[in-house]
Amino acid sequence: MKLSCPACGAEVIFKSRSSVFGVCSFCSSTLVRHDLNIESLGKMSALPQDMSPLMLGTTGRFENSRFEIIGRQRISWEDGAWNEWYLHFDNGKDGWLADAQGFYLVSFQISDPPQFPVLAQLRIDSTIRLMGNEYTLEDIREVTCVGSQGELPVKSIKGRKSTSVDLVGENERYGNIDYSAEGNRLFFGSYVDFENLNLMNLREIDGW
Amino acid sequence: MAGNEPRIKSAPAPALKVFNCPSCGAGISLRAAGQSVTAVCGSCAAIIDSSNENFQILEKAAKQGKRAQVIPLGQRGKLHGALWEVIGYMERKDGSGVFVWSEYLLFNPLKGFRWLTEFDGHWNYVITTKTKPTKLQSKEVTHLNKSYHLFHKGSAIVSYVIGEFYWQVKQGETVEVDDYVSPPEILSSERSANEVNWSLGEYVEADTVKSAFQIVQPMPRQAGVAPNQPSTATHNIKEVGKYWGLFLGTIVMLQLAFMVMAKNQTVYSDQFEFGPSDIEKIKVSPQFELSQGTSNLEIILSAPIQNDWIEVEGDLVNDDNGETIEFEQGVEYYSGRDSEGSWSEGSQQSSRVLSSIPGGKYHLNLSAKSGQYSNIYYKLVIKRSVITWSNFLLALVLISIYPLFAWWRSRSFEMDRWSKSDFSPYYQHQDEH
Repeated sequence: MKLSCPACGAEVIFKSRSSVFGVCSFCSSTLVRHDLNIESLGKMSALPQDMSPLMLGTTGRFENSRFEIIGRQRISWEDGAWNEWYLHFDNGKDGWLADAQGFYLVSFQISDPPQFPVLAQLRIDSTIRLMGNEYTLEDIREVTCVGSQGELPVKSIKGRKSTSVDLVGENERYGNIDYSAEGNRLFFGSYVDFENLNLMNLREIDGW
Repeated sequence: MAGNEPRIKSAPAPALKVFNCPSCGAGISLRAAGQSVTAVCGSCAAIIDSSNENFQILEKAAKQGKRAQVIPLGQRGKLHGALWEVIGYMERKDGSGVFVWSEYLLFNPLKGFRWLTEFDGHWNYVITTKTKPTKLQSKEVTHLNKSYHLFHKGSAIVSYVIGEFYWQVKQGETVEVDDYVSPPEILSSERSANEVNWSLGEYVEADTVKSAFQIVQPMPRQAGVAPNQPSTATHNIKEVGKYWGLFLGTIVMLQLAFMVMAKNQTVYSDQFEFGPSDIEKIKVSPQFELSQGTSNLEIILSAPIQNDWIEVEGDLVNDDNGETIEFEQGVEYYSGRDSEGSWSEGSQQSSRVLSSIPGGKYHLNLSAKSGQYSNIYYKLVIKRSVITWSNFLLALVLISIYPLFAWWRSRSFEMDRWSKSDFSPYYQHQDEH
């Protein structure tokens, strides 16, 4: 879908129908899509420099399906930060690739999640049952979006806060619940070796 | 993608991010910007929060390191098929403070972080594992279908840091460590108030580290056996065991073949009377024939003696060429009755095997000696191509010497390894409950 940036008039393309949020790569305006209209929420400041080898436009494969990175959220918490890359698959599906400390995790949002457990009742190391499987609560942390790029399915404005709950199940099953004011979201996924993602069009890093 | 296409291909990202130390103003280079969250100033040793642009000082001067840091920060080396850059170095000590070890943090932008640890000159290449061990027993864990034996429980306290780290490292930070081994691997859990982290280490030869990182300084002196040091002896024992089995199979087959082929044919049998007047007198046997080819010859002497002995001296003479083989064969047998009942000693029959006797016509020259001067009979039987076990037993001993030695060596290596553990399968500790 091609639209025009209300701030600078440059062409803005949304590759995924799920995207409701974008950052104009030309003028860095933060854009929110309301069906065919887009609204500018002001400028997104530049993301802090990092060493991630991924970037918008990087392609890869997961479970025999090709994907392209079309958006990015930089998430920080008390003790650090990581990247959540928004993936658009050739088969129309959308997913996420988290890249943190050299670990890569591919996950997908569950569109019809069950009743979410009450956040205040969750304790680290306790187990919960979700959609027929048992999970151990690995950690609960307050996270903040410190910046974003490209197009995204959530309004990832700088400073957006949520509570992220990491779940670990049997057979390397991984889950995450994102509790936020706009609504809670559930993701399931698994860790993937960098080599197995068949990533192409990676960002070059000086000297590496 | 939100934006105008085609996007301008960005220039390569810089590998270093530089900022000024908020404490002393010196320039600090971040080698894993965006991933590391703590940096230690190289000039004033202040520990700085590098997770955001505020660069807060977390801790003023760090203490001095106690050990030799043999790989400098920024040094790159190829290990396990990838290039790694040393971005952090820390020393940790155990609860008693007696043991201090070194940990080098390695970084590769594609693969993330690894650790290279060194204690007593023994090195480990360590990777954080997201796969938690599935089965937990008191002294054993199973990780990816492999079982690891508990080796050590204790604490690890950060005593010195320099460089940058992917978590908020603080001096004095303490975690409880459990080490499980399955040489050459070591599986460790580090437990803090908030989380449990598992990592998997693999023993690396000091020479491998030295050449990978082009270390010019003298390497730390190696002492003792590391918990997960692969024993060349242990590795060897399996190989040796395999060969031993192979050799054993071979000699068993050879012996079986030999047994099947043995003819066990009596070529000569005669009975002689022996009296006092026969001493030193030579009796000559009739000629007998040994089949063509070389084979062994069993000489069986029997005599119905009681509390007596007899010894036969013989010459086996080849009538074709006059070659003579001398032999001596005796029997002795004693029996009686005493307070404990009847007893007997010795035997009325004995035999010996002469090996590799060529075929041909032979005769025997025999003389005898005995302990008593009464007439006795003795019988001499000569068999061609008999079954013997001596060669087999000798071969068995020969092929088993080295395996036994290797087994002993492997066992003593393992005992050495476990002598440092409170959870040794070789020793029972009194203080263990």
